Amino acid sequence: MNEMQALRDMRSEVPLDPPSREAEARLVAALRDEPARPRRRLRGVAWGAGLATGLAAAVAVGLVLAQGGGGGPVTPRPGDNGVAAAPLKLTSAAQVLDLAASAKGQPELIPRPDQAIMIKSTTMYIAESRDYRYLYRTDRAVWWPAAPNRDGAIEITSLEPKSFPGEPLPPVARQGIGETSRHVAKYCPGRPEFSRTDFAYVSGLPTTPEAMLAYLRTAAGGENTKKGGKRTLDEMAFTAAGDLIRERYLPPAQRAAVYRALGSLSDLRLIEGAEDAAGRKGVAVAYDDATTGVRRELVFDPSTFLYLGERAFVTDADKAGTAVGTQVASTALLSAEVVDTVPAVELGPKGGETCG
Amino acid sequence: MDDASVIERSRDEPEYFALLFRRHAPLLQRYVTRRLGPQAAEDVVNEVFLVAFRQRRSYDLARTDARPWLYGIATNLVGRHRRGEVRALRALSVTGVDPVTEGFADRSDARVVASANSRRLAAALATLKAPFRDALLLVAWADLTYEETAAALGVPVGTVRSRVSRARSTMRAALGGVDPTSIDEEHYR
Repeated sequence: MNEMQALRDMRSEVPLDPPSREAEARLVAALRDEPARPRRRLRGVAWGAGLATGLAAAVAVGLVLAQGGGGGPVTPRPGDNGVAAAPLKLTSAAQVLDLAASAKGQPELIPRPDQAIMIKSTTMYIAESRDYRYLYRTDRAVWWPAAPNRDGAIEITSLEPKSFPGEPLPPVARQGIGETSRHVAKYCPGRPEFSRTDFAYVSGLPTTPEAMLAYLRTAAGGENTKKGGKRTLDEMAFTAAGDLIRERYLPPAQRAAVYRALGSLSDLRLIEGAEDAAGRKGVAVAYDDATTGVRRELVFDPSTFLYLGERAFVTDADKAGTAVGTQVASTALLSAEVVDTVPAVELGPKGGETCG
Repeated sequence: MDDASVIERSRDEPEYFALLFRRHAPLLQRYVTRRLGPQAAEDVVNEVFLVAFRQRRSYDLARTDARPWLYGIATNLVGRHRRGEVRALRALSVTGVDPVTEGFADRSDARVVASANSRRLAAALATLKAPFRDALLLVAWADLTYEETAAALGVPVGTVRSRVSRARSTMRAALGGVDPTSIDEEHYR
């Protein structure tokens, strides 16, 4: 072992802990107290000019109290557990989307036509039948060929399910846990353009927010819901955006266009203290889908603003068919990389075909 | 959005500066903790971001990564705790118990005795002059490159190379069992 390695080991038991929300709140409070321009310290000059000591002392006490109480207007947020001081105050969902659109740090992938993009994710959704409901969880890997009209592959590993709040876990939920199955993501003639996953397609999508919004509003079609309701253009755009980023790789220009397009929707909400299916904490941009009675959230990393995953919660018990607040979806996008080959899939009891 | 863009934006919207804190405070905190222990580190890290915030208007926006700047500020602030830092290193070398990391030890072991290597390195680190210790530890503990270390310390990269190389010789000799107080640095160049 050389001396540098020995040095790196020394005190390496010191953990890498994210700073507490309190530490961040203290910093933000201090930033707010800093004069906007160092040159214009008028207040300081005024006090220095000899005001009554008693008055100065009273003001000093006032400042201390104001800081102790959180320092100015604060917005309590979910998950804060009564901590009044707000850390970095993200002011709007549109701001988060703007930061996401200019986020750096995701490697750009440019596959050759004979290569594929492999994406890993983890998901949780509702499994529902007449007799039971539960939340099934899977790890997924997908291989999307870069060129159009070629077969891809999907590999699914079943994870421990979760019971639906207040309902028992049915025995069927535990079948095949830990098992992995592979499927061909078949190129099926006649499938809608929107469901195409090949790089040739996604890299040709619009790159301006306006054109992307027009695309998202109409691309997926399906304005009629199962229950006969009509979905609004905004609802369709938010849903289509989720479909586009959940398990696909978008080049930077298209990715930015999607986030900026969403930023133009009205009625978006900002939710802090969100978490994706991999347990990563983030900030969420939420949209209340009135037609389905579900609030859909896109979760972003709170410091890099890279996309992490999504969540969905019931907001309307009648429309969603379950209690308000129930979580009905959770996903996490884990990685995306260029690979040379799509794995072979044996068709049989464990494998199948799907018109991916 | 790189660090420079965040800093530029924070010039008019101060709260954006907290993004830099979110990005860099964890690693910075670990680095300063390894040098000074957890209590002093928390104060130093807070101070780093306040000092940096006050200097945000003079930040060179061509430098997209703010780490060298932040570690440079941290180095100056760590310098104020030099005596405490050296005292802890000496204690570690003499007793095998490290005041800096005591709080992180597994609670089931009442007292963890440091490895022989760590004790020797601590003795050697305590003998280094501050500029040498700063350069060596920015490379070894903060994972900065020589160029980044040079930017952090505001010295030419050649100076960093020679400081790190001399400090490494001292470490190497200490690991080989040489009493670091007897080392003539020039001899090991």
